[in-house]
Amino acid sequence: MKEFDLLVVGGGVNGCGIARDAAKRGLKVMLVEKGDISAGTTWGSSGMIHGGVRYLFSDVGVTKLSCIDSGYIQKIAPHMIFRIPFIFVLPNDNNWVFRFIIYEGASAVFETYDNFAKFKGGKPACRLTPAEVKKLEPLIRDDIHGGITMDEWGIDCPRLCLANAKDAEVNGAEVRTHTRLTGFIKDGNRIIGAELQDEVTGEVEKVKARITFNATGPWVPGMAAMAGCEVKLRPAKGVHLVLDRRLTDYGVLCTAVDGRQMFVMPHENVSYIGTTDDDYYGDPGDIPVLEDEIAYLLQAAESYIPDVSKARVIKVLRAVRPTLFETGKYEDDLTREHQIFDHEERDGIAGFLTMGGGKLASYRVMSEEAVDLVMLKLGKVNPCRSHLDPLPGGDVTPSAEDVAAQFGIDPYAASRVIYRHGSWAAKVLESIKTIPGDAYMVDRYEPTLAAEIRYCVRNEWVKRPSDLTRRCRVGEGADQGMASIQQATQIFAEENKLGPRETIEAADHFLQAKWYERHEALSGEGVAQEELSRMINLGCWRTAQRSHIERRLP
Amino acid sequence: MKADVVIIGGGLSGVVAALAAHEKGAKVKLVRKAYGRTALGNGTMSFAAQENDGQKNTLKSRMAIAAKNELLPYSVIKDPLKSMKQAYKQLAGHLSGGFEREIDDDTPVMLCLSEGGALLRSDMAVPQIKSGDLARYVGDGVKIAVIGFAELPFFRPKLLKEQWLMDIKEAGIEKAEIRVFSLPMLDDGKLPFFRMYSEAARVIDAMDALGPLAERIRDEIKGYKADLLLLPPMMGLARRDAVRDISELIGLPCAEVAGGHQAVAGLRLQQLLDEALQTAGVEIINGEAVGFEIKDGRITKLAVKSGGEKADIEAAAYVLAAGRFIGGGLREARGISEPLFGLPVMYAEKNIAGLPAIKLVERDYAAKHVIFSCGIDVNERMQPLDEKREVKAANLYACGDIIGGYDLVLDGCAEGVALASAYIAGANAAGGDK
Repeated sequence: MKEFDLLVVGGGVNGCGIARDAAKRGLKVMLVEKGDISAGTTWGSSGMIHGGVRYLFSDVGVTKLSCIDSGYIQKIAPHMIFRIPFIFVLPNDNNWVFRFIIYEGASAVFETYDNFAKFKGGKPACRLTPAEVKKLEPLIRDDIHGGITMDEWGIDCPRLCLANAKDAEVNGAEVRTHTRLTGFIKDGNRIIGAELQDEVTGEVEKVKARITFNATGPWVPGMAAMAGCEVKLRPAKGVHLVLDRRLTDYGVLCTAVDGRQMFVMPHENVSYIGTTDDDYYGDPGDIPVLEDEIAYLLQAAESYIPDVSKARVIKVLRAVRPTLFETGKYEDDLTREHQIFDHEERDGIAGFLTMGGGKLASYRVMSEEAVDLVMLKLGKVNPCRSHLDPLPGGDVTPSAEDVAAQFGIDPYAASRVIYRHGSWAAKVLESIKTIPGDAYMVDRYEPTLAAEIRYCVRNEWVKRPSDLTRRCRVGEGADQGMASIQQATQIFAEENKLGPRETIEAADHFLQAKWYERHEALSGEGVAQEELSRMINLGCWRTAQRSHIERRLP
Repeated sequence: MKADVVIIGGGLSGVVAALAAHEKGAKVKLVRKAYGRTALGNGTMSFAAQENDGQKNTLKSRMAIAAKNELLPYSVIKDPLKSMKQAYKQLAGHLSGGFEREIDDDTPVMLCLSEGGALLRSDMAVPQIKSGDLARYVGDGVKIAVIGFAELPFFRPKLLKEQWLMDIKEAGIEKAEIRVFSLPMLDDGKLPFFRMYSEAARVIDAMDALGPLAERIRDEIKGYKADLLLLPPMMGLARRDAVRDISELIGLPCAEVAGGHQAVAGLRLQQLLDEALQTAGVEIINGEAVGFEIKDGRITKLAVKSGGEKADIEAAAYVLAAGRFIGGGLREARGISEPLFGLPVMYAEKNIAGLPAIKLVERDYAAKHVIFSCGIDVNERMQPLDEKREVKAANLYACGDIIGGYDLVLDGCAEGVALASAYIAGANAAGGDK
């Protein structure tokens, strides 16, 4: 039986962050994730390491912590960060007194927020006249009172998780994806290990760990129950609509029909409309999206940017926030604070810790706090360096022109590889030198080159081809993988020497995983797109149609 | 503008209806806003259920499987096989060379290897694919040489080989052998990768002669006694005879594998259909039908927007062959509709018009989804029915994908329905009201 100091359960941003920090402090670490790295709540996040202006008055601590940590993340992973300036737009609805109060109020909020901007390298808020707003974003509706800017940062969250997991591995950790923790090994009231099962091969493995850390986000209560203790959350469902194109250069803050703050923002090569916040007690791994939720988000977005109705909703991001338990509050007012539960003190179960709550932007500092406690429990001392040392690829950011010239590829494609892999870009593209066909663009919407897919399959725990959607955005573009799913699966099959049946099954799984994300979003021109996609993926490739393949939901 | 018959839609069913009306002596105009599903397709046609019935897989036996599904339009069409046969015969007569095929009760299914690693079952295909039909080897053996070109990194026959063999053996060709060969398509080695098959097809079009390419292929496969040589799905678009010419130059039967994404075979089929219309003297109006007038239960005018201008066409009869969502015959705009005539959109005898797509899909990708099986209802004369299940207009007919009840892919009968319904609709439109 393998022995570890720390078994981290959960491959989201917290689990990966904890695994990295602990491994860097010299602990022997194993990270297990039942699905893919970042496939849960992290995958459904807005992809922002924002300072949390929303929490300025409810949780000023969260705001400050987020801003400071945002600054650190920019330093350790500069390649995967992008600036998103936001414009708060005030429409000319209601009377002038109301408008005056709202505008001045918002101004005051953003100016207060500026006090924290120095921590995260943000630019100060700026008041804009209606003409200035229209000049910056011509698609914004006419008849507005004015705007105020606010500076935030976006990030490729799956890559952030991956970089953390990779760094953990570089520092000696073992990472197991698609591996479910099926039970704990106990010695009296102490958890001393766990039983793991590989979800792809079905293999079972037992490991010993001095401490097991439950960082499973919305799955925290279930995991805690398995260990014999109770952790309560107030899980909240958050939904984002993904549009097929970048509609704006700025994020646009809007007010929804019920007065909630929402946004339309560019993200990678698509746009996000988000987000909802509703109590949710269903399965966090299978979250239905309702017609109302889609209508609610579209209504708000369209009332600020009428052209939203001309774009196509290509998928719906859905996730459950593992917010801490509180009663009597609206979902929006729930704290984004995090809490670490020491079950030895709390429930008399030793060797088991849990993290609840929190938000993406402060994952690093929360991980630091978690590992501090783990170190204390293990009686070890070693300072945290996770805010000082760059993540893999974060040391220097190469120039896209140089990389493009070196490998004879399109500079834009090169810039996307650099965005995801930083200084490791040349390593990622290396296969082009031996396999010239790897310079081919598999997904033209990203674009993603065959070389990057091959690299990810070889080095980044791609156990199912659908994992590639988080590694290098295969199938994330306007066609949702119509043309790239089969191609990417072929590279996956080639690398893993899959037989014909396994290859078909892998492609089938990928198609189903993508369909799960978009089937509720199907509308308008998207239906024609889907009809075409079915002709190709079911008609010609005819994978899912073959009767001998047992179909499974993801 | 005046005509005897106006066809709305220029895909397979629109063209078949136009030709059927034309042969009855009608003056036909065809309104088309863009290429649709036919041009985007892979150049194969399916007439009946494509399941392997474990028997001989004849058209008749597969039509019997289709007949068990009461939702299929075959339950409305009187003797669908007969209409299909007549329609095909007529169509093949209009298409230039290579489409000859006896469509009859005991016609076996066509078995063609696809670019996606499958053995596609269909009933007809463009000549370049048709010549690769493996049905004649059932119960026997076959040796296939497959050529991959270095400039086409996305065509990976080496990887597909095992998948193909698995399907071929399952189809009853026990002694099958596939050998894959790779060579550069162009000998200067300077060309970058093609991004899609149509780019490569244009290079074939631009070649002075195919001799050098054929010679290199022959050198490459020298020593392998193949029964069939398969090429990537890119052997020319304007150049129609590239596959045949290479076959003659090498001295081996040659074919393309059936292409999937952005294949050129669908475009070729569409081009041939367009030529058939031109030869027959059917006028094509590039425009969109946007409105109509109805008087005493008859359509009197069709409003067409073409190049920014609006014009009315008056005709004795109208045929709606606008397809489903790709063609624009159906539309989803937070509710599903048939946008031109406002016909009810039906599935299993229920009017689902007005329902949004989210209510019409299943969670399983490969399932039959209502939204991909719905369409309008017609009577046996191919006249669309309204909410009261009465004829919408005495001189309005419909054919092709817009008729609901079947999944375009999973039920494997889309082109069969298109042919049979279009033939009846076209003939009835030209024959006057009854």
